[in-house]
Amino acid sequence: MIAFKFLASGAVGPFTGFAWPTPTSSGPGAWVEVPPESIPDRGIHACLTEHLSFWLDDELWIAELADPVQRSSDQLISSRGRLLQRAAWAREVAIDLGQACTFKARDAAARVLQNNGRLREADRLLSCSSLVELQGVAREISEPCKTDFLANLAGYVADAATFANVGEVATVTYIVAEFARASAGAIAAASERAWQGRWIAERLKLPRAGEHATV
Amino acid sequence: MTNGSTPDLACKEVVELVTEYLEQTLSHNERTRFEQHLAICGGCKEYLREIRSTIDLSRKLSQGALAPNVRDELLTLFRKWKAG
Repeated sequence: MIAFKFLASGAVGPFTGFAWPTPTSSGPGAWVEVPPESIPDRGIHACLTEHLSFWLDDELWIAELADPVQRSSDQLISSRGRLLQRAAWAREVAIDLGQACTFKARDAAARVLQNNGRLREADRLLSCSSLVELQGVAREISEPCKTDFLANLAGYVADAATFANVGEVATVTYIVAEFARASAGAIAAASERAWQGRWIAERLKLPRAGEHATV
Repeated sequence: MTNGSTPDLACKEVVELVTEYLEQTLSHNERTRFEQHLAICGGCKEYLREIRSTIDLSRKLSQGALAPNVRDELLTLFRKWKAG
């Protein structure tokens, strides 16, 4: 099954430190196998498009998982896997993702403010054209009253803009998912994560995950 | 950062769970939450790296690697600490 796997620089597992065999001119990387005696849910972890943004790291790889593949809430697990190809995920793509997420949250916050008659604050958010400006304006809206739910939504936008500004994109995706959860609940948070994954897949023209590999 | 059914971990909880994580005794759900926190928290990722590095270095230590005066000094300090 085709799946995706974020790795640290040098094709290294970010949590295990495992150095993955990478593809060569003659074909995909070597299969990596988890010993059968290992704990049942341990294995080769990868993910589908909708879960990509949970696992952002330096490198994104298109991987193949051998059947059977176990699906958990936000990742896939198999006893065997291999790297097929490195995707064009790069720092500048991550920065663009952070910006896209932040302005999407800005638009959503402005809609909520508009729907509640707070047109001036909504207009102020919508007039921002840069992350720095948005960070300042959203903070001004959110600061005066911490118990004001609507103002608090602007606080999420301010936080997202702050982290987007310094390139901490994994944190931005998290904040924006939490913004969605705060404004519309858990399903909205999952939808936001799925949108983030689709953004990555479309930008990088990734193959469809979940299908069988033809390599 | 979850699919909505379980709350996120705070940095403090990551520090508390790091031993269980390294000993692979966390449940699947706990481990996923732990790793999802690491994915967004550079500080905790660095903390885990340091703990792993400390464990690796400790494994390489042997009695012979300790200079006699350092060993005596440590033993004296330990005895004083034990004596209260």
